[in-house]
Amino acid sequence: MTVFITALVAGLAVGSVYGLIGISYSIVYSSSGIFNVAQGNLLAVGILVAYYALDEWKIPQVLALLLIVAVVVALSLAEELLAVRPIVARGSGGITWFISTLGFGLVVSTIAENIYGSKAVMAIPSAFGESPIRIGGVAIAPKFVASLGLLMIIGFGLEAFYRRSQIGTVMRAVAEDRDVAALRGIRVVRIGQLAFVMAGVITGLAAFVIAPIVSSDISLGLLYGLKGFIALAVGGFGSMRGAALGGLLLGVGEQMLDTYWSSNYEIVAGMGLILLVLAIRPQGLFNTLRLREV
Amino acid sequence: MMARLFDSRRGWARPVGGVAIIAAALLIPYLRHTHSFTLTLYDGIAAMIVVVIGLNIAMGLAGQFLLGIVAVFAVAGYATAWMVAHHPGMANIFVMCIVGAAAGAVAGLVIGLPALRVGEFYLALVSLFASIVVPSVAGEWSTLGGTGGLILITLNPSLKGMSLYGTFIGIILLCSLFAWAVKRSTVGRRFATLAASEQLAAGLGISGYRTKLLGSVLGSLVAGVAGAMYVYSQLYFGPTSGGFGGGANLATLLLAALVIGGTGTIAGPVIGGVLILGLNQNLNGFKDWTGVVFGGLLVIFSVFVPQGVTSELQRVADRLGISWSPPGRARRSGSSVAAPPADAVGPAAVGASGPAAVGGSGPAVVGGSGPAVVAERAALEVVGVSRAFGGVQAVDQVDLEVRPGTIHGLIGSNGSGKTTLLNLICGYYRVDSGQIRMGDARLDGRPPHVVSRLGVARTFQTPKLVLGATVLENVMPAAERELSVSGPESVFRLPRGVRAARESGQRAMAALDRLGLGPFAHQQAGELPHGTRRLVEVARAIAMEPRFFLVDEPAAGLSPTESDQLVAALVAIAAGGVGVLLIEHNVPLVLAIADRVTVMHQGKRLFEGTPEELKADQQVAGAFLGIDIAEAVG
Repeated sequence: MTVFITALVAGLAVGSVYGLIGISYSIVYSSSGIFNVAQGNLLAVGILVAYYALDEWKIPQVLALLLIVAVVVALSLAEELLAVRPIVARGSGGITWFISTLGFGLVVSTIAENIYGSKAVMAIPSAFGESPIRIGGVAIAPKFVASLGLLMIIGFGLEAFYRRSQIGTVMRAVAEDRDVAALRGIRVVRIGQLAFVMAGVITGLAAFVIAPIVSSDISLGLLYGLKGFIALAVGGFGSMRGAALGGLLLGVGEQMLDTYWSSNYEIVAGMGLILLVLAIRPQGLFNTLRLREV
Repeated sequence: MMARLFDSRRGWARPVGGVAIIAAALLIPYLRHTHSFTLTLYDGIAAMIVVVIGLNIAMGLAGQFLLGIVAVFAVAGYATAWMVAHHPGMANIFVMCIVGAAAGAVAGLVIGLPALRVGEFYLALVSLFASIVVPSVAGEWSTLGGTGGLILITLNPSLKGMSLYGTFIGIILLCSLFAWAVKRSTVGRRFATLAASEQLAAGLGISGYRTKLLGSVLGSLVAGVAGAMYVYSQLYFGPTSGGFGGGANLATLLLAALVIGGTGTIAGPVIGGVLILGLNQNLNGFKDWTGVVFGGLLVIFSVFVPQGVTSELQRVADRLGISWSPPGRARRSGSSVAAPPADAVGPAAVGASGPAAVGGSGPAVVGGSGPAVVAERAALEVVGVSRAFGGVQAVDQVDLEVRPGTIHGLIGSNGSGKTTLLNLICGYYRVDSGQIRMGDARLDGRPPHVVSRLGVARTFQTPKLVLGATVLENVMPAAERELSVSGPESVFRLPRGVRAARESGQRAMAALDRLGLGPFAHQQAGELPHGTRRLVEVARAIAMEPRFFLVDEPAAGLSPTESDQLVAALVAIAAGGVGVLLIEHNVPLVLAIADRVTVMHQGKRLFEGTPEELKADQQVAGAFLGIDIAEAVG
């Protein structure tokens, strides 16, 4: 039972990060109509910054958090400017943006890996300490709770933001119909930038909470990006809750395979889950809103 | 007309030139190195170039981002390696290529079946994930040699050194030829139609899902051959086989080769493959930063040179006056070609030849060539059809009957449900209630490509054309529909395939001529002005030889001359026995040519009768059409 709960908690923690990446995709996709394949690579950069800030320079956690978010947001904006906006502006059909963001992600990841060099993977201290929380005889490290907590806060916060705030309504209008929104005087380019900033903040925060869990393993960028996509696809496009639940489902599934079969087959969970969803409910399990006819 | 169609012989210059370039590029190592270790490296690159050719078939021709091509390559590589490890007698390049191709095709099918149910980048991401999963799972199986892979150095293959390398060049040429044959076949034209628009493909009777799947499978087949080539030359297959660490990075590298070479071109994969894979091999001193180079190239090319090197080379060649492509296709962009060259086909020329051609030969052609249309006199009936979107009742209990050989006008203000009704008839939307029938056949509940095959053709409010293809190539898939030629017959140029291609070309040309579009046949559709595009859509529908033709606002944006041509064509089509449903805002135009008119208002049918009856019904005319019809018609 303890083994099961430990696996469950770890699954929820890692799954939260998949969910957060899924949410980041969703924000950018709804405002720009593009899918930022580099999102996972940006997470890896965040982990790299976390390593330097906390292990090498040993700066306070709060400053480290700000630094991580700042770096990831800056890179997001650079990506929007260099690899996304020219393509969206050209308005050519197809998914050329897929290629450019994939390329940008590869550049970012390669640079990060070179900066890190061939050092072994190092533990990164958590802002929430190491003293475990005890729930019914099971000890849970606070870093796991932090990850799930962040997903909850971001998920519900964003839903409220999209529904209540004026800028959130504007963003929904752009998601609904970019051209009409532009005719209505909404500056769609600014909204696109804002979406990249928001996605950057979320990915930065995700890097901050995941770093103590996965240590300084910065090679997992693209893989996390793809798992974030699976989270979104399983949950359903256009649904924050869907992405969050899809991520949790994937994370828990992976940890269960890891615990009860072999860690080598952990990766099969994502493939199995996505194939299952595609077979029975291609629009996603929790899809409520259709952003676009596929 | 015939001459125009068949002087595409000059098209031969291009493949020949392409083959020459490819061969030259591949012969480089003959001149530089003969060291066996280096040659083995080149053999590996040759195999990966074949993967890029496969990726190009799936992605460049069929528009499917099959980044899982690495997974396909891995499956085929492992399958052939496992086979020769257990049956060394089968270590024959021919046998291995066949087995690899089969394994690859199966892998492509398995990846494609679920992923293609959803669209575009979904396939890209899911299959990219597969590219990571397959090699890493294979690396866990002891049967497949675990992380160390299957080592086959005990094999002694009969082809070695230069003879092996030469064979590989031959395979690359064959695979390029295959890609070319697919591109210029009924399959390739279906791919291009689908890649341009799924709705369009469905409108032409093409099943989107099956065509996408075929694209994945054909690409995977070629990538499977590459798996066998890799095993044969490297005598090894493992999780990182293929270079660049395997998995997603390898997929990215191959994508870079394709994008930089030129997606959808025949020489592109080879040129890009030689450039990028060669560069990768030579970046050893720069190894850790290689990703920056390739990632950067991907960004730069997708932003600045999305067509790739091959198209740029072609553009440069055109500018230098080296013309090895048909004149209409030579100029790909630039404002100078936005308008058709005045000398060839000015509006005057069209105006002079167009209506005359339509009036003269039109009805005879339709009447003569479409016995099915004449024999089958069933009407297209819409009975009590309703459809709501959310709380809006877009179409409410509408009845409509289009009889063969007549023009039925459908008018009404914006948002009155006309186009929704058309989409319901064509199967793009499902009816909530009511029936749509054509004789005994029920149309409601059928997917759009099936409705199209039953003989219902349509145009789109915004013209949908394959912009990168010529006008003729745009119309040919419509003409091919009736010929029922199989894919292999067309791809491998079997007699029936050749005959069908010639016949569909002639039919397409005849359809174009009826709208006075003959002179545009070899021009790129993307270069045509809006009005001409609409007329091409009408020609395409004519080429389908439909029983019923639904036209959605065809006159919008047409010049008076073009509009006259359109009217003449519609009248001729109806005279040939086709039932025409004409949605149009230009009420005088409708009243002038329609046999019967239906007026819709807020989803309901408000009026049905002859144009004369409508003119007499001042209430409908005045209140709902907002015009004085008597005055408008004069």
